[in-house]
Amino acid sequence: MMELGFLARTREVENRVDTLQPALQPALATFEAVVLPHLDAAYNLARWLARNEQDAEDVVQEAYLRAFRFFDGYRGGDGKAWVLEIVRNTYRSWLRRQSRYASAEPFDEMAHSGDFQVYTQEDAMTSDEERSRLRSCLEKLPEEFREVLVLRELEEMSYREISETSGLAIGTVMSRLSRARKRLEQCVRRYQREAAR
Amino acid sequence: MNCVPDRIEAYIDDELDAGERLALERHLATCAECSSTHTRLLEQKIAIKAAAPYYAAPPELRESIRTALQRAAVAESRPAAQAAFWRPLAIAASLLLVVSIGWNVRSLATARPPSNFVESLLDDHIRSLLAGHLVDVPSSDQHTVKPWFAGKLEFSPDVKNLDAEGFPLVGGRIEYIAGTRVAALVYRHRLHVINVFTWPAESSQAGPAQVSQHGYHVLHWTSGAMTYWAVSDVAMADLELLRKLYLDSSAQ
Ligand SMILES: [Zn+2]
Repeated sequence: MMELGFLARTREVENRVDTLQPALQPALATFEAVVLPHLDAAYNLARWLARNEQDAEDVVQEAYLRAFRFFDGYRGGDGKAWVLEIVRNTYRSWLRRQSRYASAEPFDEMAHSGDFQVYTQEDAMTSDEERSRLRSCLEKLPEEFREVLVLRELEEMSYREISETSGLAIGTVMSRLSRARKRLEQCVRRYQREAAR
Repeated sequence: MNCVPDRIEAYIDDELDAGERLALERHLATCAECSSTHTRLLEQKIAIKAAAPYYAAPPELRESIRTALQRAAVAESRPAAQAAFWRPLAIAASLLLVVSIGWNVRSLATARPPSNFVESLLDDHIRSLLAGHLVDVPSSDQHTVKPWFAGKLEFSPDVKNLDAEGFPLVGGRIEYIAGTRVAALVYRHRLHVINVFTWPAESSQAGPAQVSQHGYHVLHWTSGAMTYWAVSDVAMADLELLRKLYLDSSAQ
């Protein structure tokens, strides 16, 4: 009985999907012009989130198909923020599929805060070794922090653009960015202390 | 001007207007502490750019996306061919993808996007139907369903049997929502399925009381120490009734 209702509902969804989709063939050229230029940004974000190439490629491929199928929902404006929002959501839903029943700690903004420690000019990173330390610290940051830092420092997006991409309020973007920087610095200093021993 | 550390970050991120910038620069010139914070932040910014690789898309990904888009465009222009396009994917997965992204993008046209949180509720509801994974503990008896959650969750959900009121209990399962393990209580109402996601209330989980999209409805309420999110394709009025039944039976 439930199956019957469910099949009927599935068909209903399919019908709705059909009515959602006008002929998209002529839209392909426009889509490619608006969205393909942001492929590097899309891959960079996915690669930093997933932290490996194969998963990043899968996420971006799925995100681009999603973006194309619903390009009629795009209302102009910042194409990059639009694409990255889809990449981000695709990644999240991919992640949910991967770790459906895995236990994980909920993300707690406050638990991840920390204070800057004073450090001097001599600490400034110069060598290859220091660069690789910072990179590994960045990779180990909690995803929520890694994401805002990548969007800000690598994609050079404004707070407003990061807010559009992430769905976070601008104030949250700012505080998260600030905590991310503190966390990153703490991690680098930990490495430095270990190296000095 | 007093010391305002967060303005220094806004400054290095180029988020200040001309007046604010000038005021801050004047302050930096006279305040050793803020000046050193500024130097440190700037050095970190430079270090990140120097150390963090920018991963450009591999050429073969670009090619495979173009090919997939061409195929999708052809399939879209010939509705009859849609089945062929979707064949490589599980039908369930594709429908899910379509519905969940429809939800996403539609929202761009409206004032503000729905939270990823509401989206994930909807995703989970639809997936539970499509993947045939409705319940881990199939039972219409709340005295079977409630103990089943013990040991699997850190809280004990309030499971109610509302059969007499037209909402028979189907069972329960564990869901994973917004980074938390929650209880999903499954009810039936006529031929429809209702997922009620519940966990201990947190003020940070405050959200819209009700959302409707694509024929799906989400209704939120709290009761005692618990928060509830009911998701279904039944009419919103039916979800309202379910909420009322929940609240009434708790009040007794
Ligand atoms: Zn100062």
